[in-house]
Amino acid sequence: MIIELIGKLHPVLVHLPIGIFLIAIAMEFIGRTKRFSHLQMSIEFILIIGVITGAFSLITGYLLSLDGSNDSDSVNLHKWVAIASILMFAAYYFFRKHVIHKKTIQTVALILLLIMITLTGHLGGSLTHGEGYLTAAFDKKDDKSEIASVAKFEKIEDAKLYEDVVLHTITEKCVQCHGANRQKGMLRLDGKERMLKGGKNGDVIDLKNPENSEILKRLLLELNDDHHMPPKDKNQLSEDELVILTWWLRNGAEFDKKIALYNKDQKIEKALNTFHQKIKSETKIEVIREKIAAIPPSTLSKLEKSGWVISPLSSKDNYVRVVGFNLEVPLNSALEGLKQIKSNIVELKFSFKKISDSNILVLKDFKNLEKLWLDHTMITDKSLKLMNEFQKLTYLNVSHTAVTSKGIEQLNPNSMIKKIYAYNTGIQKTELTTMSKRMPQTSFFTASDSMDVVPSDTLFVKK
Amino acid sequence: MNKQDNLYQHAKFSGLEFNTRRHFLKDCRTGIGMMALGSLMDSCNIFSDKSDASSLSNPLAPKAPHFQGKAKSVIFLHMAGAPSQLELFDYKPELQKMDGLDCPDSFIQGKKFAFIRGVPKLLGPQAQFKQYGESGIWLSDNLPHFTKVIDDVTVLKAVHTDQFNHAPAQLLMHTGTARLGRPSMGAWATYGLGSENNNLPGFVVLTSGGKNPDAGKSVWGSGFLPSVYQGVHCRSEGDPVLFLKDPNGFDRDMRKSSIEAINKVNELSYQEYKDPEILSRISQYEMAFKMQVAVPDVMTIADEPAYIHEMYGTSQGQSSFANNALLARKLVEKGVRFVQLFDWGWDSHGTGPVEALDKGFIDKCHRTDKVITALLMDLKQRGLLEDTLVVWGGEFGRTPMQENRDGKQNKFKGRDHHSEAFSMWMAGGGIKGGFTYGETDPIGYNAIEGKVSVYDIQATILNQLGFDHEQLTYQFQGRPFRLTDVFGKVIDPIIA
Repeated sequence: MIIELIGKLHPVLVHLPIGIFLIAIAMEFIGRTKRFSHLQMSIEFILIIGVITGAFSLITGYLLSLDGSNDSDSVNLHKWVAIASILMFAAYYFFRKHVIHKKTIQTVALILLLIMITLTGHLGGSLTHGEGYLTAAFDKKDDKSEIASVAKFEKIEDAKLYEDVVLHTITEKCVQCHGANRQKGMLRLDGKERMLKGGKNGDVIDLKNPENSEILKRLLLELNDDHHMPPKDKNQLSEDELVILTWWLRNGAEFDKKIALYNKDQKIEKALNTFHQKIKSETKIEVIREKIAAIPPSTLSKLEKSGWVISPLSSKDNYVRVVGFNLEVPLNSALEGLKQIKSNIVELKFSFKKISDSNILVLKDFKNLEKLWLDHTMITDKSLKLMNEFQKLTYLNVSHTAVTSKGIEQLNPNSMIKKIYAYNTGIQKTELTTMSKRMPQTSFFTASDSMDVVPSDTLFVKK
Repeated sequence: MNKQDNLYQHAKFSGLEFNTRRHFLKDCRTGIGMMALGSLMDSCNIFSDKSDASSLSNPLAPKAPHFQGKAKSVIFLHMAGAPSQLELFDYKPELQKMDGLDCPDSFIQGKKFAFIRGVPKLLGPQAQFKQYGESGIWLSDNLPHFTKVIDDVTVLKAVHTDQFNHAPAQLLMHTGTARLGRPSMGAWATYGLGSENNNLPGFVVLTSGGKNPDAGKSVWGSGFLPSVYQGVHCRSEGDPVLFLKDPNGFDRDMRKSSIEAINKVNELSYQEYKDPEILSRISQYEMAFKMQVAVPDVMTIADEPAYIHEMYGTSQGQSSFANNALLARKLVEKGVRFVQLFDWGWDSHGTGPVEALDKGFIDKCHRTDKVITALLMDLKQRGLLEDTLVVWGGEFGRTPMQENRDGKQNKFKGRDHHSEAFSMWMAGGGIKGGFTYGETDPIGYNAIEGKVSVYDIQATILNQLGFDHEQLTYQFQGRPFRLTDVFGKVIDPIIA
């Protein structure tokens, strides 16, 4: 605990020796002029302070390196360069009076020291900020990572194996160290070209024999192996992700093929399904609607006073569901009031209202309606024609009304409506097949099948 | 003026001479600082958002969920006493083969049971199983009707809890903790979403089976939430709510003006004390006034057609689970957010015929199977099932072993309380149909795949209503509380 805390002070502490040594070097140069020759007197003191703080930095740095969160190669390099720098400064302190008395030798020594301290600082910086942090501004052009985008597919079959699935795993588990910010082993995996380019140790994907690719070997090595990827303390690939990645390589590591075109066995199906579930829960696939202005509070409170209950569908947009069980004003004016928020209404429930065909004409411009309840109202077949106006309507409930199949016939055969509930209407069960034939995208629901009588209904076991 | 006074005056003046401009500035600095601190520490909840508590608005007004939920209401069918999963949903042919053998030590070592002592014998399934529906889900012959709607249902076969006694397990199921004092699920739902029908309570509770749940009324309590969110327990026999009718000679206008007068007084005292419970009381008076008209209308099954009564198998004028289920549908149809049904009598220990798996238990099944099937069918035909989440379950399950109370074999076939694995099901409200999730070992003792906890069930219910269960919180005693405490994970695979 304490060790960890002290170690964490390293990034703060390092600035002391760096600054102090730089000041010492600067004073050596400036002190050569007559005007500032008095600075010479302080240099020894400053060098001592620099070496002492440097020693502290070394200790804290060593403690920090113990947690092993960084690549040990770069840590080692930083460590030895730092030790060398401090030793060189100490040596400079001892010899500056005797050996290094010639100006030229001194200049060379000082420049060397400057280079050492800069190098140490740079190596340390690369450790905290990631390699390439300093030069990021220069190679920004092709730096845009190709990372997995939000799922664009409904069914997993429609997904592209590399772009939507494999890249998703890579983005999540590899790109932290092999991406735009850090390129450990000079390798980037955030995109097709970069992946094929390989890293310091050569290709990661062997296109001739993909199953033999370095990337797979590294993934399959034992967790404790030094070459295992991702490193032991990092987030590992799940069983299913590994199955999918292997499968992708085995099938030739293709970058543009849809999942539907591959042959899958049960194990793959299962892994793909798990993946899909995960994506779904991560992105919480929601209906994406256009942005729309919020209902002004004054309008809202006025409508609420007239008895409408206006519930926001979610806190993320301004669409609402409107229900009116207990209207306080006459139906006509209540309906008229809804016009003010017509584009906000997505779900509208008129259940149990004495709404007739003429009342319902108010809804004409309610373009955003997705669900509409007209059950237990006085509407007839006439009203159904209006439903064709609603391009986004997916749910329609006309249960307990005088609607018949004649009314349904007026609906556009290619209507978007997915479900029509017509329980207890003029629609007969026998008409359902013709209706479904005409509107193949729509399911119709009338009365559920009646329940068979089973012996247990009348038979009660004696206690 | 005597000398003493003079001296005092003099001392006072010379004291004042030391009060320099510096003192003035110093006093101002600390003084203003203290004032600022005082207003900051107005109440103990320095950082809480007080806007909701201090407004006189309707606490049941609709509120936005975190995201668009698929379910708008919930019907929770709690089979109090805990029905045996091994005679209903969890088919274990292996257990049949081992019927009568001693339970292996590995299962019982270090385990605590409510009644089992020593080494109990395994008890094979006391029912016949077959596959039903397009999905081919195994169901027992105790559910002859339910087989028809199985393709609308997701069965969770590996639910587990950490309580093996009725009261704490029921509390855990409904309030997220085995101890008293937390709000119930229905209270959280109405707190989060408000109500769609301001003439009815947002959360209604109906009980049957001749006994209230062991955990008492706390399972539908509001805990630290304002009490307006607590479940309203309606009587299932006689008047659903007592004293709805105005007394003779007392007309509606008079009632109205008297309630207005009471509320006026309450409003004044709210302005004085700022106690949120006064707000609850005001809205409860208002709702009671409206309920006088609305409740007799909704809380009766008399106006339903005969074929509906036949479908549910209701018995009018009596208290029954069938009546309650039909009422639940009517309430949901009228915008009630959460309907909680408790049916007592599933505690099949085997100590007597009523508690026997081959007698009383079958009777219980017969009395509910048709009702639940009718409820699902009725919701579906009315287009209500897609935004109503129906949840069925007990507070725990029952052991694969036959109970041996105090070490002696019970007279009848019965099973003890079991917390490791039991079955529940969900339907509608955006849940998959014809799907099973989770698996138990060959004798049905432990969950081996798809193990879900009670918290996961709660998280899933809230998720279907549009809530991130980790975000739906209430500030109380200096920290935010939530239904699932620090647990819970939405069961994603069962979501359609």
